[in-house]
Amino acid sequence: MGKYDKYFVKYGINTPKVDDMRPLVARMDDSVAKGSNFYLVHWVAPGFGDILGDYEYAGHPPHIHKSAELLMHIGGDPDNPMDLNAEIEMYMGPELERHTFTESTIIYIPPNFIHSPWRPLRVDKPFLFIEINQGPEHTEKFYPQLLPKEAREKIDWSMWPDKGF
Amino acid sequence: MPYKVTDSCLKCGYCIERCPEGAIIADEKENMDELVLQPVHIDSEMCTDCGVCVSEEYWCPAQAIVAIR
Repeated sequence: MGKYDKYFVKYGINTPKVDDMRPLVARMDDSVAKGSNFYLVHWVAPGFGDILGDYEYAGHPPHIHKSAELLMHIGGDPDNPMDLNAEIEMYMGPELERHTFTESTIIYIPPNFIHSPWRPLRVDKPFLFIEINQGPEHTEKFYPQLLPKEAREKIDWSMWPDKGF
Repeated sequence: MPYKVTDSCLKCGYCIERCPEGAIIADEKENMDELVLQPVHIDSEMCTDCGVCVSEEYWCPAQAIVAIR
């Protein structure tokens, strides 16, 4: 055992596992390593979008964080690093402006900026998703009032509690 | 320069506790289907024009607070 073993983070081996449906590779925050910001790393595999539903505005509902966030979508083919081999749908702002992309992409989310729903429309090959939150804990406040009633009623809101607000 | 809450307000109530002067006041709650919404207004006498509510692009997530010119 070395003095600095604690800085080598192996999810579920020397850090706590959390209840999460995603295949996590890392989940970091101030409670795992004092002083660390919040980071989440997971694979997105074919079929992942099916979990989130297939209707207009399905997916992680609109929300904000207190700190800025980077959402990194990194394709898994080193011969074509900009090909995500997937198509992602993301809504931005209180207007729910719809965006889709098929390239490796980083989305910058300013503090308190309303974003999502996010969901994969298709995933042909697994890609890495890295969430970098520029604060020591993961905060989240949801805006269900932005969604049409039909979409709100299809969402299991117990999965999406406000955190840190 | 006084400020006001516009119709863009999403009635989330996030601003109430963030105003350092306590000048953003909760109005009577509203129901939207099963949702409970929190309208607000700015008390012009309590507001000290510090400008914090417009100091960041998304201080109000809906950008619903504006200066009255």
